[in-house]
Amino acid sequence: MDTGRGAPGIDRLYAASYRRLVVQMYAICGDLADAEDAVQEAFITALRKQWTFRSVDNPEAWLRTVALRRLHRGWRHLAVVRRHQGLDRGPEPAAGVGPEHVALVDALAHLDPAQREVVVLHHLADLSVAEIADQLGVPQGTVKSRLGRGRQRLGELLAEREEPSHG
Amino acid sequence: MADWEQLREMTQHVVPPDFEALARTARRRQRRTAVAAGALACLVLAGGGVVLSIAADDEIRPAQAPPPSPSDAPVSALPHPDPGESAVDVDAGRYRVAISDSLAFEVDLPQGSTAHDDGLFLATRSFVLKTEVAGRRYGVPRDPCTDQVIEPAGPTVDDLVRALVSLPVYEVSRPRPVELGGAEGFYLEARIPSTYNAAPCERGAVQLPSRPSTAVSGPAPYLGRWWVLDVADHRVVVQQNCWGCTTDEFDSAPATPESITFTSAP
Repeated sequence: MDTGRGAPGIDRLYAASYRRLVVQMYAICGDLADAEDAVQEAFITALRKQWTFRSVDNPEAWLRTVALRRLHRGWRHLAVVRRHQGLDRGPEPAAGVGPEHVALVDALAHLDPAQREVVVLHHLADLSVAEIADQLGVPQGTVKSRLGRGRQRLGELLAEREEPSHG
Repeated sequence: MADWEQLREMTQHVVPPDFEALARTARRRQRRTAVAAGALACLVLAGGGVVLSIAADDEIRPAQAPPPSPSDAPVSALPHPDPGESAVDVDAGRYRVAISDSLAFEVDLPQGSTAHDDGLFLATRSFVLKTEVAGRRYGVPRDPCTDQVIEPAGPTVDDLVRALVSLPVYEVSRPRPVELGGAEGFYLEARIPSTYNAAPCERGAVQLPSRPSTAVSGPAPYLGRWWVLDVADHRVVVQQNCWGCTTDEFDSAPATPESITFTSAP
């Protein structure tokens, strides 16, 4: 849920939305420390650009976009790892997070990054297709297709986890 | 079915840091950016070939004499990879790469280079250059072979250098004070000889110091040059990594890391 229109004091926005944004970023990147770093950097950017920030329609959406951009920059893509002898490591479970949370985040980590982002923004950040399209700068049709494929794959992954092993 | 409510409940376990601490960080960065921009403007007006250096002690001072050409070439942004790709081939030239909202570096890349992850990795035919802000999560593996979980090394340049020197598996040189790109820090050389048996290691590869989210591993033999720098109050690590190459090949590689100059982000 976003804070809506208007530009509340950044400190009040921080108190209201920091935790929510961190969990959203965690669901996308799978690393709680990276998620916290991304959101803190977004707030620091907002503080440094207060005049710009005060003019935005949806401050929480602006912060989310900045945090997402930071996550994108930091992501380790498999191509690098495959090409330069590195290894494919899934996101590390965050300390203190329950197994149910980790199961969902682990399943999310197996989605295509673009699908994961859309699924999280829709189901966790409660954004509409139009809002996601606006925030990511992609057509609504792209969001719909990513959302559809991402949901389907996520369901399969979670079902695989729940199925008892055979043989 | 995914239980998103359980994930939402995680918000109760997230502890926001003190807001005033973020505000202080923002003010400090703002001051640095303003000073750096002013100094850069002066240097441009003067027309001198002086490289801007952002020092850790709030002073702006000229760095050592700039490296030889092609560092005087125009600086370009890295080209964007094709949709869905994380890597892009780049022509020979000098490029600017952002490593945070406030920091960037410029570097000469030889023909045949490839930029990955927005420049986090810059691969030439001879080695892979990795440059990143080494924040509080940056550290060293508990054991680079058998327990590759990255443990934070501590927040300072000295903390990290101490951890690097003590790394098992790697043969690490004594740290040497150095200046790179206008920033001061320490330089170390690391090596894993070809006689090292990496077979028992996780997936047969040895983990490098890193942030957990950007960690990569590689097989033996390994040759690396590591710079741990203090750049405008940010700890930055530059790694020149080479797996399977000889010392001669490594030494004859283009002096890409030496061409680095740190700047404020555009």
